[in-house]
Amino acid sequence: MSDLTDASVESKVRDILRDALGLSAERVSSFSDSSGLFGTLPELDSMAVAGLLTELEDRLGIIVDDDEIDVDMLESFGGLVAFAQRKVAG
Amino acid sequence: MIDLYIWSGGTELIQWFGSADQPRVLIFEPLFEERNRCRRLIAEMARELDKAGLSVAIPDLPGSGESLFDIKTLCFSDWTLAAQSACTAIRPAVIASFRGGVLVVPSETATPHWTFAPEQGSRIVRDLERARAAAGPSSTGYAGHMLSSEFVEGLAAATLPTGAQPHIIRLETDAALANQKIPGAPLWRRAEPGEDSALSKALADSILAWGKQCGAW
Repeated sequence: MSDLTDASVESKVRDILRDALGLSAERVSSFSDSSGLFGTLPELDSMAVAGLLTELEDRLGIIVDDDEIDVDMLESFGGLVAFAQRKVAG
Repeated sequence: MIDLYIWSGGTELIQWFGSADQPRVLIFEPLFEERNRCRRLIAEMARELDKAGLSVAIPDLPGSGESLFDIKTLCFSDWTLAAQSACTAIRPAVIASFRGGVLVVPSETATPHWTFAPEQGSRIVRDLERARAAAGPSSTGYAGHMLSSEFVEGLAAATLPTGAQPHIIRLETDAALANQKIPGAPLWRRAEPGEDSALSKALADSILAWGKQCGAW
């Protein structure tokens, strides 16, 4: 459904974390696959999770179903990027 | 300056920037938590408008801000009624709404309506429900807001005005249609209230230019 490559999806996920959570560009560029998100970043509280998902939908042109939201996709940067790449690939 | 307006259920506060003898901009803020997150953005924008010779009125909706109402006793229609009363009391030259604030703007109004990053009621309800789900089963209400089921149903059914189209401003990163796109970050997504002087200034400039185009000042 999209011509976004895996690398550009990862870059967009970094931008979304920066903009939606107010993190510095240095901080998001330092994230690796194992970097912790939900439960680790104080900026990512439950209300921010909702906003993060909506922002992912708006910018990547995807729809996230509520039953797809689980710990795996939110607990690490790698998990979130993999989820976004799967959704973009359709 | 603090002032009051009366609606059928009671009395609520209006916060004013600038003197009331200047052309007035009535602001409807984002709803719930987003309101807190955008307070500094909007206050700074209001000061910019004041400097440019406008006065700005920001009314509380029942059950939010300094309101004495307990929100769990209210329906969404109480908000639209109160917004109508605020509009009648303030007699604005332009209405400026933010995010879900677009949903309380009286649909019959002939006043020019400018709106930033407007959101459908159904999407706001989905955000609230997701926040509740992410907060876990021990949480109460919607991210701390004790909303009645009538309120949530009314909000979910609220849509953007379809009659007189508002003038829509969005961030460049937002894919949805808009009359104007401006750079900036969605401060309403952040856990901590942020500020962005450049965005506040860009919003003030947009309102000034558009009001002029409409002949509002």
